[in-house]
Amino acid sequence: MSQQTAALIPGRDEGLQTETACGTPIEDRLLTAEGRLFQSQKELVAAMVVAENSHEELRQMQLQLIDAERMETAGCLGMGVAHEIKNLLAVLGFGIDYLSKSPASADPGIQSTLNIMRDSVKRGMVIVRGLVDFSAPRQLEFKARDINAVIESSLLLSKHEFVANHIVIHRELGQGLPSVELDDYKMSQVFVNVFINAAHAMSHGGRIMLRTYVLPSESAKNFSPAGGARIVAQIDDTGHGIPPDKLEQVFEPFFTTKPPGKGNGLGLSVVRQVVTLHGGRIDIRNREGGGVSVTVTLPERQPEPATACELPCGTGLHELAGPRHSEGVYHP
Amino acid sequence: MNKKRILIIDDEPGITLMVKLMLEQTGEYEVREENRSTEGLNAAREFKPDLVILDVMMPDLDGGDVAAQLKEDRQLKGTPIVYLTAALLPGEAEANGGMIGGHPAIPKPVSEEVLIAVIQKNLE
Ligand SMILES: Nc1ncnc2c1ncn2[C@@H]1O[C@H](COP(=O)(O)OP(=O)(O)OP(=O)(O)O)[C@@H](O)[C@H]1O
Ligand SMILES: [Mg+2]
Repeated sequence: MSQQTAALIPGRDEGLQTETACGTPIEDRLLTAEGRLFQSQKELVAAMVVAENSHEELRQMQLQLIDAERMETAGCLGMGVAHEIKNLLAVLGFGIDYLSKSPASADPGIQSTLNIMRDSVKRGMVIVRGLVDFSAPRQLEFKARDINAVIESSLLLSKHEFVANHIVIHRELGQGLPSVELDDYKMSQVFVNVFINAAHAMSHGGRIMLRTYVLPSESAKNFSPAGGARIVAQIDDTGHGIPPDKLEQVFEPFFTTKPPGKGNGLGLSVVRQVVTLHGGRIDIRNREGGGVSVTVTLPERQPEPATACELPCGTGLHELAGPRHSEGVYHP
Repeated sequence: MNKKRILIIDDEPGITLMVKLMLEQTGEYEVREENRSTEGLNAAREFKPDLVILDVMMPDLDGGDVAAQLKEDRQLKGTPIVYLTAALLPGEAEANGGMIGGHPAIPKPVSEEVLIAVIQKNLE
Protein backbone atom coordinates (compact mmCIF):
# COMPACT_ATOMS: atom_id res chain seq x y z
CA MET A 1 0.00 0.00 0.00
CA SER A 2 1.40 3.36 -0.97
CA GLN A 3 1.97 6.00 1.63
CA GLN A 4 -0.78 8.11 0.07
CA THR A 5 -3.37 5.38 0.29
CA ALA A 6 -2.33 4.67 3.84
CA ALA A 7 -2.88 8.29 4.71
CA LEU A 8 -6.41 8.02 3.36
CA ILE A 9 -7.35 5.36 5.87
CA PRO A 10 -7.89 6.98 9.21
CA GLY A 11 -6.15 5.59 12.25
CA ARG A 12 -4.23 2.88 10.44
CA ASP A 13 -0.72 3.81 11.53
CA GLU A 14 -1.62 4.99 14.97
CA GLY A 15 -3.74 1.83 15.45
CA LEU A 16 -0.86 -0.49 14.74
CA GLN A 17 1.41 1.50 17.00
CA THR A 18 -0.91 1.42 19.97
CA GLU A 19 -1.38 -2.30 19.62
CA THR A 20 2.38 -2.79 19.55
CA ALA A 21 2.74 -0.70 22.64
CA CYS A 22 0.20 -2.82 24.52
CA GLY A 23 2.19 -6.03 24.38
CA THR A 24 -0.77 -8.33 23.42
CA PRO A 25 0.02 -11.63 21.66
CA ILE A 26 1.11 -11.18 18.06
CA GLU A 27 -1.86 -13.16 16.57
CA ASP A 28 -4.36 -10.99 18.39
CA ARG A 29 -2.60 -7.89 17.23
CA LEU A 30 -2.58 -9.20 13.66
CA LEU A 31 -6.25 -10.07 13.85
CA THR A 32 -7.15 -6.64 15.17
CA ALA A 33 -5.00 -5.03 12.51
CA GLU A 34 -6.70 -7.11 9.84
CA GLY A 35 -10.09 -6.14 11.17
CA ARG A 36 -9.13 -2.50 10.97
CA LEU A 37 -7.74 -2.95 7.52
CA PHE A 38 -11.01 -4.53 6.42
CA GLN A 39 -12.95 -1.67 8.00
CA SER A 40 -10.72 0.88 6.29
CA GLN A 41 -11.15 -0.85 2.97
CA LYS A 42 -14.89 -0.64 3.36
CA GLU A 43 -14.58 3.06 4.15
CA LEU A 44 -12.40 3.54 1.11
CA VAL A 45 -14.94 1.85 -1.13
CA ALA A 46 -17.70 4.00 0.36
CA ALA A 47 -15.59 7.11 -0.20
CA MET A 48 -15.03 6.07 -3.78
CA VAL A 49 -18.76 5.63 -4.36
CA VAL A 50 -19.36 9.13 -2.97
CA ALA A 51 -16.61 10.50 -5.20
CA GLU A 52 -18.09 8.72 -8.19
CA ASN A 53 -21.55 10.11 -7.42
CA SER A 54 -20.25 13.65 -7.15
CA HIS A 55 -18.36 13.11 -10.35
CA GLU A 56 -21.54 11.99 -12.09
CA GLU A 57 -23.38 14.97 -10.61
CA LEU A 58 -20.66 17.30 -11.87
CA ARG A 59 -20.88 15.71 -15.30
CA GLN A 60 -24.65 16.20 -15.35
CA MET A 61 -24.24 19.83 -14.39
CA GLN A 62 -21.64 20.32 -17.09
CA LEU A 63 -23.98 18.78 -19.64
CA GLN A 64 -26.72 21.12 -18.47
CA LEU A 65 -24.38 24.08 -18.80
CA ILE A 66 -23.42 23.12 -22.34
CA ASP A 67 -27.10 22.72 -23.09
CA ALA A 68 -27.90 26.10 -21.57
CA GLU A 69 -25.29 27.69 -23.77
CA ARG A 70 -26.65 26.01 -26.86
CA MET A 71 -30.11 27.21 -25.90
CA GLU A 72 -28.77 30.71 -25.44
CA THR A 73 -27.47 30.74 -29.00
CA ALA A 74 -30.71 29.24 -30.26
CA GLY A 75 -32.54 31.93 -28.28
CA CYS A 76 -30.69 34.80 -29.95
CA LEU A 77 -31.23 33.18 -33.31
CA GLY A 78 -34.90 32.76 -32.48
CA MET A 79 -35.38 36.44 -31.67
CA GLY A 80 -33.74 37.41 -34.94
CA VAL A 81 -35.84 34.99 -36.97
CA ALA A 82 -39.03 36.08 -35.18
CA HIS A 83 -38.29 39.72 -35.96
CA GLU A 84 -37.79 39.01 -39.66
CA ILE A 85 -40.87 36.84 -39.95
CA LYS A 86 -43.05 39.35 -38.15
CA ASN A 87 -42.01 41.97 -40.69
CA LEU A 88 -42.92 39.68 -43.57
CA LEU A 89 -46.23 38.74 -41.96
CA ALA A 90 -46.95 42.44 -41.53
CA VAL A 91 -46.39 43.04 -45.24
CA LEU A 92 -48.66 40.11 -46.13
CA GLY A 93 -51.31 41.23 -43.62
CA PHE A 94 -51.34 44.78 -44.98
CA GLY A 95 -51.48 43.38 -48.51
CA ILE A 96 -54.50 41.24 -47.66
CA ASP A 97 -56.28 44.20 -46.01
CA TYR A 98 -55.54 46.35 -49.04
CA LEU A 99 -56.72 43.79 -51.59
CA SER A 100 -59.88 43.11 -49.58
CA LYS A 101 -60.96 46.67 -50.37
CA SER A 102 -60.52 46.29 -54.10
CA PRO A 103 -63.70 45.73 -56.16
CA ALA A 104 -62.19 42.47 -57.44
CA SER A 105 -62.50 41.00 -53.95
CA ALA A 106 -66.25 40.63 -54.51
CA ASP A 107 -65.41 37.55 -56.60
CA PRO A 108 -66.00 34.44 -54.41
CA GLY A 109 -62.77 32.79 -55.54
CA ILE A 110 -60.72 35.85 -54.63
CA GLN A 111 -62.61 36.20 -51.36
CA SER A 112 -61.79 32.66 -50.24
CA THR A 113 -58.20 33.08 -51.41
CA LEU A 114 -57.89 36.18 -49.23
CA ASN A 115 -59.44 34.32 -46.30
CA ILE A 116 -57.00 31.44 -46.61
CA MET A 117 -54.14 33.91 -46.76
CA ARG A 118 -55.42 35.73 -43.68
CA ASP A 119 -55.63 32.40 -41.82
CA SER A 120 -52.09 31.52 -42.80
CA VAL A 121 -50.82 34.85 -41.51
CA LYS A 122 -52.57 34.14 -38.22
CA ARG A 123 -51.00 30.69 -38.02
CA GLY A 124 -47.63 32.18 -38.81
CA MET A 125 -48.09 34.51 -35.87
CA VAL A 126 -48.91 31.60 -33.54
CA ILE A 127 -45.63 29.96 -34.53
CA VAL A 128 -43.71 33.19 -34.08
CA ARG A 129 -45.27 33.69 -30.67
CA GLY A 130 -44.07 30.24 -29.65
CA LEU A 131 -40.61 31.07 -30.91
CA VAL A 132 -40.55 34.37 -29.04
CA ASP A 133 -41.76 32.67 -25.87
CA PHE A 134 -38.84 30.34 -26.18
CA SER A 135 -36.26 32.95 -27.11
CA ALA A 136 -37.30 36.20 -25.47
CA PRO A 137 -35.26 37.77 -22.74
CA ARG A 138 -37.48 37.80 -19.72
CA GLN A 139 -36.95 38.80 -16.18
CA LEU A 140 -37.91 35.98 -13.89
CA GLU A 141 -39.68 37.18 -10.81
CA PHE A 142 -39.21 34.71 -8.01
CA LYS A 143 -41.76 34.69 -5.23
CA ALA A 144 -42.41 32.06 -2.60
CA ARG A 145 -45.43 30.10 -3.83
CA ASP A 146 -47.43 27.02 -3.02
CA ILE A 147 -46.62 24.58 -5.82
CA ASN A 148 -50.05 22.97 -5.48
CA ALA A 149 -51.71 26.32 -6.15
CA VAL A 150 -49.60 26.82 -9.28
CA ILE A 151 -50.67 23.38 -10.47
CA GLU A 152 -54.34 24.11 -9.78
CA SER A 153 -54.29 27.35 -11.76
CA SER A 154 -52.47 25.61 -14.63
CA LEU A 155 -55.15 22.90 -14.61
CA LEU A 156 -57.79 25.60 -15.02
CA LEU A 157 -55.90 27.07 -17.97
CA SER A 158 -55.76 23.64 -19.66
CA LYS A 159 -59.36 22.71 -18.89
CA HIS A 160 -60.66 22.95 -22.44
CA GLU A 161 -58.10 20.34 -23.56
CA PHE A 162 -59.17 17.95 -20.80
CA VAL A 163 -62.85 18.35 -21.62
CA ALA A 164 -62.26 17.93 -25.36
CA ASN A 165 -60.24 14.74 -24.82
CA HIS A 166 -62.30 13.22 -21.94
CA ILE A 167 -59.47 13.30 -19.47
CA VAL A 168 -59.86 12.67 -15.77
CA ILE A 169 -57.50 14.27 -13.25
CA HIS A 170 -56.30 12.42 -10.15
CA ARG A 171 -54.58 14.41 -7.46
CA GLU A 172 -52.19 13.22 -4.80
CA LEU A 173 -50.87 16.62 -3.83
CA GLY A 174 -48.61 16.70 -0.79
CA GLN A 175 -49.93 18.61 2.18
CA GLY A 176 -47.82 21.12 4.10
CA LEU A 177 -45.10 21.25 1.44
CA PRO A 178 -42.59 24.08 1.83
CA SER A 179 -43.32 26.96 -0.51
CA VAL A 180 -41.09 27.23 -3.57
CA GLU A 181 -39.42 30.37 -4.90
CA LEU A 182 -40.64 30.52 -8.47
CA ASP A 183 -41.93 32.72 -11.26
CA ASP A 184 -45.66 32.15 -11.20
CA TYR A 185 -46.34 32.99 -14.82
CA LYS A 186 -43.44 31.01 -16.25
CA MET A 187 -44.06 28.00 -14.05
CA SER A 188 -47.70 27.78 -15.04
CA GLN A 189 -46.51 27.87 -18.63
CA VAL A 190 -44.43 24.80 -17.75
CA PHE A 191 -47.36 22.87 -16.33
CA VAL A 192 -49.79 23.94 -19.05
CA ASN A 193 -47.36 22.71 -21.72
CA VAL A 194 -46.92 19.38 -19.96
CA PHE A 195 -50.69 19.00 -19.43
CA ILE A 196 -51.47 19.77 -23.05
CA ASN A 197 -48.86 17.27 -24.23
CA ALA A 198 -50.49 14.65 -22.02
CA ALA A 199 -53.94 15.55 -23.34
CA HIS A 200 -52.74 15.30 -26.93
CA ALA A 201 -51.38 11.82 -26.20
CA MET A 202 -54.80 10.72 -24.94
CA SER A 203 -57.18 11.78 -27.68
CA HIS A 204 -59.49 8.85 -26.81
CA GLY A 205 -59.62 9.70 -23.14
CA GLY A 206 -57.39 8.82 -20.23
CA ARG A 207 -56.06 9.89 -16.87
CA ILE A 208 -53.55 12.38 -15.57
CA MET A 209 -52.12 11.56 -12.16
CA LEU A 210 -50.59 14.47 -10.29
CA ARG A 211 -48.26 14.09 -7.33
CA THR A 212 -46.28 16.63 -5.39
CA TYR A 213 -43.78 15.74 -2.68
CA VAL A 214 -40.49 16.65 -1.08
CA LEU A 215 -37.57 14.72 -2.54
CA PRO A 216 -36.13 12.31 0.04
CA SER A 217 -32.88 13.88 1.21
CA GLU A 218 -30.65 10.87 0.52
CA SER A 219 -31.40 11.03 -3.18
CA ALA A 220 -28.41 11.77 -5.42
CA LYS A 221 -30.45 14.42 -7.21
CA ASN A 222 -30.87 16.29 -3.98
CA PHE A 223 -28.34 18.93 -4.76
CA SER A 224 -29.38 22.49 -4.05
CA PRO A 225 -26.82 25.30 -4.02
CA ALA A 226 -29.02 27.65 -2.03
CA GLY A 227 -29.89 25.02 0.55
CA GLY A 228 -33.41 23.97 1.45
CA ALA A 229 -35.43 21.07 0.18
CA ARG A 230 -36.19 19.97 -3.36
CA ILE A 231 -39.82 19.74 -4.31
CA VAL A 232 -41.08 17.42 -7.01
CA ALA A 233 -44.14 17.71 -9.20
CA GLN A 234 -44.85 14.48 -11.02
CA ILE A 235 -47.26 14.34 -13.93
CA ASP A 236 -48.18 10.86 -15.17
CA ASP A 237 -50.48 10.12 -18.07
CA THR A 238 -52.03 7.03 -19.64
CA GLY A 239 -51.38 8.12 -23.23
CA HIS A 240 -49.53 6.47 -26.09
CA GLY A 241 -46.10 7.21 -24.65
CA ILE A 242 -42.95 8.20 -26.53
CA PRO A 243 -41.05 5.80 -28.81
CA PRO A 244 -37.80 5.00 -26.92
CA ASP A 245 -35.63 6.24 -29.80
CA LYS A 246 -37.40 9.62 -29.66
CA LEU A 247 -37.05 10.17 -25.90
CA GLU A 248 -33.74 11.97 -26.33
CA GLN A 249 -35.19 14.41 -28.83
CA VAL A 250 -38.34 15.65 -27.17
CA PHE A 251 -36.61 18.66 -25.55
CA GLU A 252 -35.11 19.82 -28.82
CA PRO A 253 -36.63 22.96 -30.32
CA PHE A 254 -38.98 22.14 -33.20
CA PHE A 255 -39.02 18.40 -32.52
CA THR A 256 -42.65 17.39 -32.92
CA THR A 257 -44.66 14.36 -33.98
CA LYS A 258 -47.82 16.42 -34.32
CA PRO A 259 -49.45 17.53 -37.56
CA PRO A 260 -48.99 21.17 -38.64
CA GLY A 261 -51.30 23.44 -36.71
CA LYS A 262 -51.35 21.14 -33.68
CA GLY A 263 -47.77 21.50 -32.46
CA ASN A 264 -44.60 23.42 -33.20
CA GLY A 265 -42.25 21.33 -31.10
CA LEU A 266 -41.37 24.25 -28.87
CA GLY A 267 -43.40 23.32 -25.79
CA LEU A 268 -40.85 21.15 -24.02
CA SER A 269 -37.91 23.35 -25.06
CA VAL A 270 -39.55 26.26 -23.30
CA VAL A 271 -40.43 24.03 -20.37
CA ARG A 272 -36.88 22.85 -19.89
CA GLN A 273 -35.48 26.34 -20.27
CA VAL A 274 -37.78 27.70 -17.58
CA VAL A 275 -37.09 24.82 -15.22
CA THR A 276 -33.33 25.22 -15.72
CA LEU A 277 -33.59 28.95 -15.01
CA HIS A 278 -35.19 27.97 -11.71
CA GLY A 279 -32.18 25.79 -10.91
CA GLY A 280 -34.37 22.74 -11.29
CA ARG A 281 -34.46 19.74 -13.55
CA ILE A 282 -37.04 17.98 -15.67
CA ASP A 283 -37.09 14.30 -16.51
CA ILE A 284 -39.37 12.49 -18.90
CA ARG A 285 -39.73 8.74 -19.25
CA ASN A 286 -42.17 6.10 -20.35
CA ARG A 287 -44.14 4.41 -17.59
CA GLU A 288 -44.13 0.67 -17.33
CA GLY A 289 -47.89 0.40 -17.67
CA GLY A 290 -47.91 2.76 -20.66
CA GLY A 291 -48.02 6.51 -20.87
CA VAL A 292 -45.48 9.09 -19.89
CA SER A 293 -44.19 10.33 -16.56
CA VAL A 294 -42.78 13.84 -16.28
CA THR A 295 -41.03 14.97 -13.10
CA VAL A 296 -40.18 18.58 -12.42
CA THR A 297 -37.78 18.98 -9.50
CA LEU A 298 -37.40 22.48 -8.08
CA PRO A 299 -35.21 23.87 -5.33
CA GLU A 300 -37.11 25.42 -2.46
CA ARG A 301 -34.95 28.55 -2.60
CA GLN A 302 -33.18 30.52 -5.28
CA PRO A 303 -29.56 31.55 -4.73
CA GLU A 304 -29.08 35.20 -3.69
CA PRO A 305 -29.99 37.59 -5.17
CA ALA A 306 -33.28 35.79 -5.43
CA THR A 307 -35.06 38.56 -7.28
CA ALA A 308 -34.32 38.36 -10.96
CA CYS A 309 -32.32 36.65 -13.61
CA GLU A 310 -32.32 37.52 -17.24
CA LEU A 311 -31.87 35.67 -20.44
CA PRO A 312 -29.38 37.18 -22.84
CA CYS A 313 -30.11 38.76 -26.21
CA GLY A 314 -32.17 41.94 -26.09
CA THR A 315 -34.84 43.18 -28.46
CA GLY A 316 -33.34 46.65 -28.39
CA LEU A 317 -36.61 48.13 -27.26
CA HIS A 318 -35.51 48.83 -23.70
CA GLU A 319 -32.99 51.16 -25.30
CA LEU A 320 -35.81 53.46 -26.31
CA ALA A 321 -36.89 54.02 -22.76
CA GLY A 322 -33.59 55.31 -21.43
CA PRO A 323 -30.56 57.05 -22.93
CA ARG A 324 -29.87 55.59 -26.32
CA HIS A 325 -26.88 53.83 -27.69
CA SER A 326 -27.04 51.20 -30.36
CA GLU A 327 -25.10 48.45 -28.60
CA GLY A 328 -27.19 45.41 -27.86
CA VAL A 329 -29.66 46.29 -30.56
CA TYR A 330 -30.30 43.59 -33.04
CA HIS A 331 -29.34 44.56 -36.57
CA PRO A 332 -30.40 42.21 -39.31
CA MET B 1 -59.67 69.36 -47.16
CA ASN B 2 -55.93 69.39 -46.63
CA LYS B 3 -54.33 65.97 -46.71
CA LYS B 4 -52.29 65.00 -43.67
CA ARG B 5 -48.66 64.38 -44.42
CA ILE B 6 -47.23 61.12 -43.13
CA LEU B 7 -43.58 60.08 -43.30
CA ILE B 8 -42.85 56.39 -42.83
CA ILE B 9 -39.30 55.22 -42.15
CA ASP B 10 -38.80 51.43 -42.23
CA ASP B 11 -35.98 49.40 -43.73
CA GLU B 12 -38.51 46.90 -45.14
CA PRO B 13 -39.70 48.30 -48.51
CA GLY B 14 -42.76 46.02 -48.43
CA ILE B 15 -43.95 47.75 -45.25
CA THR B 16 -43.45 51.31 -46.46
CA LEU B 17 -45.12 50.61 -49.82
CA MET B 18 -48.13 48.90 -48.23
CA VAL B 19 -48.61 51.64 -45.64
CA LYS B 20 -48.41 54.25 -48.42
CA LEU B 21 -50.96 52.42 -50.59
CA MET B 22 -53.34 51.82 -47.68
CA LEU B 23 -53.23 55.34 -46.32
CA GLU B 24 -53.45 57.06 -49.68
CA GLN B 25 -56.39 54.85 -50.65
CA THR B 26 -58.42 56.57 -47.92
CA GLY B 27 -57.90 59.89 -49.73
CA GLU B 28 -56.95 61.57 -46.44
CA TYR B 29 -53.20 61.20 -46.43
CA GLU B 30 -50.15 62.02 -48.44
CA VAL B 31 -47.41 59.54 -47.62
CA ARG B 32 -43.67 59.67 -48.17
CA GLU B 33 -41.69 56.45 -47.68
CA GLU B 34 -38.03 56.10 -46.74
CA ASN B 35 -36.11 52.88 -46.21
CA ARG B 36 -32.97 54.34 -44.66
CA SER B 37 -33.17 56.23 -41.42
CA THR B 38 -30.52 58.83 -42.32
CA GLU B 39 -32.37 59.68 -45.51
CA GLY B 40 -35.58 59.58 -43.51
CA LEU B 41 -34.24 62.39 -41.31
CA ASN B 42 -33.44 64.51 -44.36
CA ALA B 43 -36.86 63.76 -45.79
CA ALA B 44 -38.45 64.88 -42.52
CA ARG B 45 -36.76 68.29 -42.72
CA GLU B 46 -37.92 68.80 -46.28
CA PHE B 47 -41.37 67.15 -46.20
CA LYS B 48 -42.42 68.55 -42.79
CA PRO B 49 -44.76 65.66 -41.94
CA ASP B 50 -47.73 65.91 -39.59
CA LEU B 51 -46.75 62.51 -38.18
CA VAL B 52 -43.84 60.10 -38.48
CA ILE B 53 -44.21 56.31 -38.47
CA LEU B 54 -40.93 54.80 -37.32
CA ASP B 55 -39.49 51.32 -37.37
CA VAL B 56 -37.29 50.48 -34.36
CA MET B 57 -34.62 48.08 -35.56
CA MET B 58 -32.93 49.51 -38.61
CA PRO B 59 -29.43 48.88 -39.88
CA ASP B 60 -28.09 52.44 -39.89
CA LEU B 61 -29.78 54.46 -37.14
CA ASP B 62 -32.36 52.73 -34.97
CA GLY B 63 -35.80 54.23 -34.38
CA GLY B 64 -34.81 55.60 -31.00
CA ASP B 65 -31.91 57.55 -32.52
CA VAL B 66 -34.16 58.94 -35.24
CA ALA B 67 -36.73 60.02 -32.64
CA ALA B 68 -34.00 61.72 -30.60
CA GLN B 69 -32.73 63.64 -33.64
CA LEU B 70 -36.24 64.72 -34.58
CA LYS B 71 -36.67 66.04 -31.05
CA GLU B 72 -33.48 68.08 -31.40
CA ASP B 73 -34.72 69.77 -34.57
CA ARG B 74 -36.50 73.03 -33.75
CA GLN B 75 -39.03 72.68 -36.55
CA LEU B 76 -39.74 68.99 -36.04
CA LYS B 77 -39.61 68.53 -32.31
CA GLY B 78 -43.41 68.72 -31.91
CA THR B 79 -44.11 66.15 -34.64
CA PRO B 80 -45.95 63.12 -33.26
CA ILE B 81 -44.10 59.82 -33.65
CA VAL B 82 -45.66 56.35 -33.80
CA TYR B 83 -43.43 53.26 -33.62
CA LEU B 84 -44.40 50.39 -35.89
CA THR B 85 -42.16 47.54 -34.83
CA ALA B 86 -41.63 43.79 -34.90
CA ALA B 87 -39.46 44.00 -31.81
CA LEU B 88 -42.25 44.06 -29.25
CA LEU B 89 -42.64 41.06 -26.98
CA PRO B 90 -46.18 39.83 -26.41
CA GLY B 91 -47.80 42.22 -23.95
CA GLU B 92 -44.82 44.56 -23.81
CA ALA B 93 -46.51 47.64 -25.23
CA GLU B 94 -49.71 46.96 -23.28
CA ALA B 95 -47.70 46.78 -20.07
CA ASN B 96 -46.52 50.34 -20.72
CA GLY B 97 -49.95 51.66 -21.70
CA GLY B 98 -49.15 51.14 -25.38
CA MET B 99 -46.14 53.45 -25.09
CA ILE B 100 -42.44 52.80 -25.64
CA GLY B 101 -39.95 55.52 -24.86
CA GLY B 102 -42.72 58.10 -24.61
CA HIS B 103 -44.29 57.30 -27.99
CA PRO B 104 -47.17 55.01 -28.93
CA ALA B 105 -45.98 51.65 -30.26
CA ILE B 106 -47.83 49.32 -32.62
CA PRO B 107 -46.64 45.71 -32.90
CA LYS B 108 -46.14 44.14 -36.34
CA PRO B 109 -48.14 42.56 -37.79
CA VAL B 110 -51.18 44.79 -37.30
CA SER B 111 -54.40 45.31 -39.20
CA GLU B 112 -54.97 48.34 -41.40
CA GLU B 113 -57.87 49.28 -39.16
CA VAL B 114 -55.78 49.49 -35.99
CA LEU B 115 -52.94 51.28 -37.76
CA ILE B 116 -55.23 53.99 -39.09
CA ALA B 117 -56.99 54.35 -35.74
CA VAL B 118 -53.67 54.99 -33.95
CA ILE B 119 -52.56 57.47 -36.61
CA GLN B 120 -55.83 59.40 -36.39
CA LYS B 121 -55.65 59.53 -32.62
CA ASN B 122 -52.12 60.91 -32.65
CA LEU B 123 -52.88 63.54 -35.26
CA GLU B 124 -55.46 65.17 -33.02
N1 LIG C 1 -47.06 13.14 -22.54
C1 LIG C 1 -46.61 12.81 -23.75
N2 LIG C 1 -47.00 11.64 -24.33
C2 LIG C 1 -46.56 11.28 -25.57
N3 LIG C 1 -45.71 12.03 -26.31
C3 LIG C 1 -45.27 13.19 -25.79
C4 LIG C 1 -45.70 13.65 -24.50
N4 LIG C 1 -45.09 14.84 -24.26
C5 LIG C 1 -44.34 15.11 -25.35
N5 LIG C 1 -44.45 14.14 -26.27
C6 LIG C 1 -43.75 14.08 -27.58
O1 LIG C 1 -42.74 15.07 -27.60
C7 LIG C 1 -42.91 15.93 -28.73
C8 LIG C 1 -42.41 17.31 -28.39
O2 LIG C 1 -43.23 17.93 -27.43
P1 LIG C 1 -43.28 19.51 -27.36
O3 LIG C 1 -44.21 19.87 -26.27
O4 LIG C 1 -41.90 20.04 -27.28
O5 LIG C 1 -43.83 19.94 -28.77
P2 LIG C 1 -45.31 19.73 -29.36
O6 LIG C 1 -46.26 19.38 -28.26
O7 LIG C 1 -45.20 18.77 -30.49
O8 LIG C 1 -45.64 21.17 -29.93
P3 LIG C 1 -45.98 22.50 -29.05
O9 LIG C 1 -45.79 22.15 -27.62
O10 LIG C 1 -45.00 23.50 -29.55
O11 LIG C 1 -47.38 22.83 -29.39
C9 LIG C 1 -44.39 15.83 -29.07
O12 LIG C 1 -44.64 16.13 -30.42
C10 LIG C 1 -44.68 14.37 -28.74
O13 LIG C 1 -44.28 13.54 -29.79
MG1 LIG D 1 -46.32 20.53 -26.46
